[in-house]
Amino acid sequence: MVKAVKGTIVKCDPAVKQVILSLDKKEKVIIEDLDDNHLLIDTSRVDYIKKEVEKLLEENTYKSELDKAPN
Amino acid sequence: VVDQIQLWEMELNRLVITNSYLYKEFRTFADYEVVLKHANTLGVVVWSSDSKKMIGITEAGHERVKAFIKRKIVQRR
Repeated sequence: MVKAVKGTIVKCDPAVKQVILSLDKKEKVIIEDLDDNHLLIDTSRVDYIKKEVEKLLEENTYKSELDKAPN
Repeated sequence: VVDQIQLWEMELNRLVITNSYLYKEFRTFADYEVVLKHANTLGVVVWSSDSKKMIGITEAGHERVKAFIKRKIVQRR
C-alpha cells in the first residue's frame, strides 16, 4: 500500500548534500536520501541544517576556492 | 576570476526547501505512473524517481493527491 511521509524536500548541490550527510551522522535529520541533489529532511530540523551548512561552508570557503578557482 | 568564484559560492549555498509529502511503496509501476501523471497536471510535484517509484508532493497538493489515490487505486482492489 502507498505510504505518504511528511517532511521537507531539500534541493542542493552534491557538496552541500555531503555536508548534510555528515550532520546526519551526529544527529539524525534525514528521513530519506532521494538522489544526488535531493533529501527528505525532518521539517523541525531544517533551520538547524541551514545554520550548520552556512557555518561549515564558511569555514571551508578558502580551501574550496583554491580547489575550484581557475588559473 | 572573482566573479566566477562569487557565482560558484552563490550556487553552492543555495538550498531549495519545500514542505512535502513523500509518496512511496507503490505496489506497481503503473500505480506510481498514474499518480505521478495526475499530480503533474495539478502542478504539485516537487521531485520524482521512476527507479525508486517515489513522488514528492507539495504540502498544498497532498490532500488532492491522497483523495485521487483513494479513488483510483484503493477502490480498484
